[in-house]
Amino acid sequence: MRIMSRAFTRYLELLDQLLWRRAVLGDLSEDEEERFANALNDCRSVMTATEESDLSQIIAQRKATADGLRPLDLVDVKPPTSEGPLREKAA
Amino acid sequence: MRLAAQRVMSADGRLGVNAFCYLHGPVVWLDQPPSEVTNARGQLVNYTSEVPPGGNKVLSYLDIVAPDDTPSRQLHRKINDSIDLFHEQPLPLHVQIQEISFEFNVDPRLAPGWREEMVVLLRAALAARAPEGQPH
Repeated sequence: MRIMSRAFTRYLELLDQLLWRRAVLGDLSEDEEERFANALNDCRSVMTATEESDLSQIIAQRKATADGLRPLDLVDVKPPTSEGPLREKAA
Repeated sequence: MRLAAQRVMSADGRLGVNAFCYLHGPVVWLDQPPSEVTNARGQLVNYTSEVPPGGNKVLSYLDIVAPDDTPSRQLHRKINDSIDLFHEQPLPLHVQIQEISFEFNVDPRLAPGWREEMVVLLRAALAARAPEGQPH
């Protein structure tokens, strides 16, 4: 396994945080988007050509994983007793 | 012990993470948990809830099974450190790391940020482990 630079790992961390925030919290403010964009560009500017190539592969793989997912179609169960499943198929 | 954390959405659109801690008593194992653990949820000893449980749509979940006395920092380290190994793994994840096993899945709407979501659920699961002030 190749050793990745700090910039590479930080880029992936920031990307995860950005995608999560958009998915869970909704649209970010312009300031937040700009801060993420600047931080991502800073990391990318010091990556090696090999890391750039690896990054493209990882992002493509992540997209393929996301595209292949099916809806969970689950609901949680009340009350949270000690018996039975934690969640069940949605009606 | 079963730690379960799940992000749910209520019928009126509220999002939140609910987490539950179930204990199984003094059962130990080396790799696969025994059937008495996998087949029984265990005794609920604590939970945290941001959205009242029951009938909410589940958008993501993380279920961790480990011996009751596994330190939280060990659970955190082993699960958190393993996330980067799953770049090419399809979801749901079914992972076994020695005596700790976990399952994780997300709804497509959370898929782009699933690694961060797993970290968030892991924190929630560990926070639900015991009432505040009781260290693990």
